[in-house]
Amino acid sequence: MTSFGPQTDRLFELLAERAVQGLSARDQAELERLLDSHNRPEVDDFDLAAAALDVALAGGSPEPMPESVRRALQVQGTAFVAGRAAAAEQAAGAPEAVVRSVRPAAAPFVPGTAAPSQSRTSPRSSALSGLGWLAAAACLALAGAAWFGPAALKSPATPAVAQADPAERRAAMLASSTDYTQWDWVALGELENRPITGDAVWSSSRREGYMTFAGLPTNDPAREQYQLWIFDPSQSDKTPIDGGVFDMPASGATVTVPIDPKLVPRGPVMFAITIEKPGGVVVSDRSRLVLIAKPG
Amino acid sequence: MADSLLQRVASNDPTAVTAVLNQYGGLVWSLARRFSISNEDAEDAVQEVFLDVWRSAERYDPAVASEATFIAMIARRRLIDRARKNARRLDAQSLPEMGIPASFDGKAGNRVELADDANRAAQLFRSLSGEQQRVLGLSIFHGLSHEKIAEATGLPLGTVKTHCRRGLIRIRELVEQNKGPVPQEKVS
Repeated sequence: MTSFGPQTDRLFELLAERAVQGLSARDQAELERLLDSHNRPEVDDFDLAAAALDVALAGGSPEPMPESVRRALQVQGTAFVAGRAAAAEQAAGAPEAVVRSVRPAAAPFVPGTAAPSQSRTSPRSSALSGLGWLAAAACLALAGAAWFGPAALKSPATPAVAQADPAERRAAMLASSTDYTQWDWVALGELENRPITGDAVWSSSRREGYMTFAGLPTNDPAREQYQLWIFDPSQSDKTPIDGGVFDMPASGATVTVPIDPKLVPRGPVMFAITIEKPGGVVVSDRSRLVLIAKPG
Repeated sequence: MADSLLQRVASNDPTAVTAVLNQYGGLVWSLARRFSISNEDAEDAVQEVFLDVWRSAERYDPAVASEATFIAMIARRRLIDRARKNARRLDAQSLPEMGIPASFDGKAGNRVELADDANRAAQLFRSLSGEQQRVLGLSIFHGLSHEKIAEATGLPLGTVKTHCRRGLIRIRELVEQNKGPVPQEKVS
């Protein structure tokens, strides 16, 4: 460890305080100045010491993470690393080999597209498939969501069901459920004048829902993706439930997208769609809110 | 030597995500529950923590810390930041019921296998005076501010800060003395 000299006490005091309770902006600025004056030595040491003691005090028997939370994190984490790999592959200019390596088994279909097989089997033959690795990444993440999501828990037959066309699954849900909500989309912001139609349906008893869209512009998943947010009584309006990211193919047809909530909503009161960076965000600044669906 | 889980995450191996969640999900969840006022708050927190974990995986060096300690460090930073922003630190009024967790019986590392760095931290902790242990435990494990600890224990604020600082310095030095590849452990 670097020796700091006569200012050690104050520097260590700030590092220790940061490790156990964080610093005010003023103290953080002072810490930065002190670190600058010491040629920025390794500054994780105190935080690691606190973390090591925390792990020791906890005793190695942590409380199990709820399965629903773990599944949501798995989907998010898989999407994150896939998105990062996509960016790396695109930067390297050789995406196809990676697409081949992840595409077939992990992603039996592209959830949310009316013609899934096209983007799956010819990854560079259309505007959507030109996404390369990222499209495959989205397939992987969404396939994971389909497999591990709430619907999967309800029925052991889910893998077969999951491979059905989303529009057919939506129709089946509407035919067999009486408690669902169904609200039309209203375009806002940059899409306000677009002729976008469709709806969001959700069945609380089945914990299952779908979105339909006609006229929603095709996106370039390498640059941005649509992200659904579910406003629910279980969450603050500031932190709606992340409903997952999705893409719009260039087919022009009505597209059905399964709703993939990261947490199971109690009873949605509004759905909103924003445009976000690839992979989505944990908290949206809502600067690109483009669609909402809510009662009346 | 095989890549660690975090090194595999850094190389964008999607199977490593599952492995990290399986192995360290409980650790992060326990931390989040301790720092959060509700399950909903904890759920939001763990999402932020693991996003930080995926982003920071490439910084992980197995020669510096165990994966559990590295992930706990990331989690603590995020949770402390959230607590400061939300002003949700625990109230000192609940202090009488707080102590060193029952699971820590002075023999941490015996019941379950911890990483070397956590064991070294536990070893150092046991060598501290009772007062120092209480201050460090309240600060690190229970997340109380220095001011709250001073209020609850009757110790001068400067003494509380000194106990925290010296305790962490000693732990850091002890870990430094034994620095080397840290065996990985199963924590959940």
